[in-house]
Amino acid sequence: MTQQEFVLDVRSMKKYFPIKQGFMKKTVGFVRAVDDVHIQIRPGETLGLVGESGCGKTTLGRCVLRAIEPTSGTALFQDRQGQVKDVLKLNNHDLRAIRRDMQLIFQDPYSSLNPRMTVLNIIAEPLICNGLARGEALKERVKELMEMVGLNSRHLERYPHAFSGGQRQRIGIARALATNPKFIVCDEAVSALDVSVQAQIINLLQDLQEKLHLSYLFISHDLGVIQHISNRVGVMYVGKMVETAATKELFRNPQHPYTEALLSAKPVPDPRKKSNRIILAGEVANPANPPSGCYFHPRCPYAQDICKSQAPEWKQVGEGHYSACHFAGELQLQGAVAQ
Amino acid sequence: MSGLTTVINQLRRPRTRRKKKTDQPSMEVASQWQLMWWKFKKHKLAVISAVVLILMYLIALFSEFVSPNLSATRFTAYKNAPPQKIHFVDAESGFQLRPFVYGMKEKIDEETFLRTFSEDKTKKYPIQFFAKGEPYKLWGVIPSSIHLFGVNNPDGALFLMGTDQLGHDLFSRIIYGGRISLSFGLVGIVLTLFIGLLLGGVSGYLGGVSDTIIQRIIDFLICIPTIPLWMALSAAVPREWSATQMYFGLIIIFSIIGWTGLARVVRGKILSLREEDFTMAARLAGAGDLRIIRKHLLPSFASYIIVNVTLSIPATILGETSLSFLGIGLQAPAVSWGVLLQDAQNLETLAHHPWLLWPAAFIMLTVLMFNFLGDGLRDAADPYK
Amino acid sequence: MSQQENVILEMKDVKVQFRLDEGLLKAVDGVDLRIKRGKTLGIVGESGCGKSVTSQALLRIVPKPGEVQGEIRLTRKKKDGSLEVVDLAKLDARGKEIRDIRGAEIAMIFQEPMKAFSPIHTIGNQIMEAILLHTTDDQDEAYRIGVEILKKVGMSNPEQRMSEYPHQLSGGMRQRAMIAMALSCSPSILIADEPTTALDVTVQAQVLQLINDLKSSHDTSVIFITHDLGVIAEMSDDVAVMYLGKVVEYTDVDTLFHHPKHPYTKALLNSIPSVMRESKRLESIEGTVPFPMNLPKGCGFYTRCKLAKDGVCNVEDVPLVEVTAGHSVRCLLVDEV
Repeated sequence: MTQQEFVLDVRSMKKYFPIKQGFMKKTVGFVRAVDDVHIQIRPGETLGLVGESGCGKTTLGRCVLRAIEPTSGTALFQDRQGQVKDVLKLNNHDLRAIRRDMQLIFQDPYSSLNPRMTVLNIIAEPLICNGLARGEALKERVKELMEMVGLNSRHLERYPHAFSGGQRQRIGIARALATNPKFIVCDEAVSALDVSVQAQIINLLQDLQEKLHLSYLFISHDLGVIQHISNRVGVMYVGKMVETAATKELFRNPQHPYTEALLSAKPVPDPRKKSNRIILAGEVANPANPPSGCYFHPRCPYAQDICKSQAPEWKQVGEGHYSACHFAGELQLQGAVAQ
Repeated sequence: MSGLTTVINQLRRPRTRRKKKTDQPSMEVASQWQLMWWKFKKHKLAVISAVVLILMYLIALFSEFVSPNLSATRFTAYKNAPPQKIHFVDAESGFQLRPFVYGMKEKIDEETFLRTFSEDKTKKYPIQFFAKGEPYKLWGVIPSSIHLFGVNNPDGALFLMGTDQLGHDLFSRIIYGGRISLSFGLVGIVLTLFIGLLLGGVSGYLGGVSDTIIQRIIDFLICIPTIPLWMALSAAVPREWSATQMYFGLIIIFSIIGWTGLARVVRGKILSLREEDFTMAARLAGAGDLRIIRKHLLPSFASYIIVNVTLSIPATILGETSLSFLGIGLQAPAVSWGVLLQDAQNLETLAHHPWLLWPAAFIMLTVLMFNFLGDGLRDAADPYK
Repeated sequence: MSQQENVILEMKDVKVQFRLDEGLLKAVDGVDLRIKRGKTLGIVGESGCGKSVTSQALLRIVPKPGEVQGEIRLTRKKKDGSLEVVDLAKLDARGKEIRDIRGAEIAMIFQEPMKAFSPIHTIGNQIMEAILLHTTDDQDEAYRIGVEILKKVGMSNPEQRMSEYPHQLSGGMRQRAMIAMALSCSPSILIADEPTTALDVTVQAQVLQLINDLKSSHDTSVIFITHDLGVIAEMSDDVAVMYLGKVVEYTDVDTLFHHPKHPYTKALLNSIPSVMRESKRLESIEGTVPFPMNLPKGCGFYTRCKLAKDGVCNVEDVPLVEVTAGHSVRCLLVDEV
């Protein structure tokens, strides 16, 4: 019954951006932004995607929605009729139809709302474009959506500039919810907000998930947020998935040295727990010119000779726990929560 | 986001907050154009310029009515007459509120044969509003003989800025010339706008080969020196064309060259707007290309287009003036500021009749006002930054 | 009076106001802070709380039309070794005196290192410029100090880096170069304004460690400004929590995180999703920060505070009161909570 199991099942997703140089715009190489990534998301589940800048998490999120065209792979998506379709093979017409079921929440609450449109027009756009409502019914539906995300529905005629960052993010969420989607990609949806407002939005996203039975692909660089909101977490490094596991498992029992370093580098808001942290040398590798073998080996404190020459395989190390490390399961790595 | 940037950003739009107290629509529901208007109003110089320009265009529109004389009327008794002085004080009756001018006597210096004019204090012509003068047809349709102001006396004449060597009243001719010169700026920009929007839009939205071709054409066009190109093109215009044909001929010439700047602005704007998150959001919402262009792209750069157009109107006006001045644009008997300035080409005439330079003052005023206006509009163009 | 001697910089009732047609924008509204020798003072708050403007007031680089009022007393060593106290708030913002202090006594590192460096000069030239301005007149000596300091901030091949341009460095390296430049004249105070916000966590960890190492080796005092409570916990000795241009709670770091008194601090701490805590819901603060202009009298946090009492909190401006030694709170209901 695989059809029932996943809302989204992405296999071998690749996105290579060509690097063009010179007068003739010759392709001299590729930036492997997303390189052979698999993800699965179950109904009502949140998959957290964490990684540092340039690791390809945003590109992956957009490829899944085909907001940018992936180079290859499959993305099986179960639409509202229960039919499973490969998003990457749909034609324009079918793609538009399936986008009713999959939506995106942006990071920047300023550039994601057209400043020249009223809130009514912004939230109504998906409804109008998909022919779902018009006239008075349209207005009612927008009001309902605004109240659902905690906005005052009397502010229908206001423009985005009259709202604060957090309220704008709510408008963005209302727009994403307009067509009753089942699956939403939250691309750093709370990263631009202040902590107190961030908490409001995270709570809202969780409430909505429960109420509407949504599935999220939640992309963030903030481990605290990821840990709080996700059921399962995927860690990316230079275009590759290095580890996925259930949240608790990943934070307590990481099986990839990069995950360990990431967990340890995150400052903890408790001065009594000044960590004996693992400070990685160097910086994130350049995806246009990645190192040989395992991309992480130049920074990895456990690196051996094999890591320099051979790319590690995607191995299962526990139930639902996968890691791309030659020594996964052999290393004693330190988690974030004392056991 | 650091605290300061927030403060600074909010510093920039505090004035609109005050609107809450007044009856005007509050800033929460203020559209793009309202915000722009509020911001524009703060730019005093631009507001003044806008008023001056509107006044000038109104005068040009009603030039038959506003000018005291007709442009073609020749006052053979007053060739090369200097501007008349406007008096309020008379030797006999003392001060009076109604201004008046004296008649002029012509005198020829017997040695140098230089004509000079002196005031003839015996003839006094009070200046009156809505004076009856020569009959005309407003816009060639409405017959009338009422002028906004004049001397109401068929014997007298009013030359506020002197006359030229044929005895035309220069002030009236400047007003008539304004009709052509000022309208040229506006009408000329329409075609430029059309070509610029179309080609710039195609270039930016479609990209690829069409983009490359259009960009290379632009590169080619802007590297040609303008004046020689204008001269060549206008030389190609048949001599026997009427003034009207010539007028539109010149507009086409200017548009052929002038669209490049606008096209670049449009292309740049479209390229940056296409990358905006809200464009992607619209696409994910299921909006088609047409809707995205109509609802998201066009409204976003309309204000920039207006600014750009405002700033390129004076260039067009100056272009027409230069060509007419050089004698390859409009020709007499058509009257434009450039045509009028042709009379001031000669150094000797200038030395003796400096008032022939008056058209230049009007050109400068117009260009300056357009530049101030454009400046204010540019500041107001993006109320969200 | 050893306590007094240890305080290197003291701010008393510092206000930064922007006089606008619409009214008075109080970006910083009466801040009292003390910076101790060799310690780190963390300033934490949400965007718009005035934490950055406070640091700009110290260097007198507040953008126009901002005015600095109050007292900023800097204790500095004169050349003969004796101590003198300068009131920075009284100095001419463009005068020679404050320029001598900038860079030499108080240095600053910014969030975005790319903006702090001039793109058309090499890293070496820019570091040497500061050294030549404050420390020595000798070019070779300045070069030597420059290489030394780059080595100290952990940059590989310092000689080569001296001749590189800012764009040739990665984000983390640029931030290191900026720290090097700030430290090149051995300032007694280093202001770090969100120095790691633009960096990735693993690089942030490197930079934070570097700042801590340098602090102890140079005996420099640090003012660390950030919105990230995790970083504050990691870095600070004392912490000031700011809200709407005012310090609402001011104490040592352990007390702040384990016995916070102000409702805002408490709510802030409860609103961060933490790796350490596993609760289903976050405690959020309702509403948003008001605009700091023409504010009503009373507590600035009144509109968002869960404990606020009408007729108590919104009557008069609330003073900052020392509740226990070294722990000041700006809340009238501090005993009830």
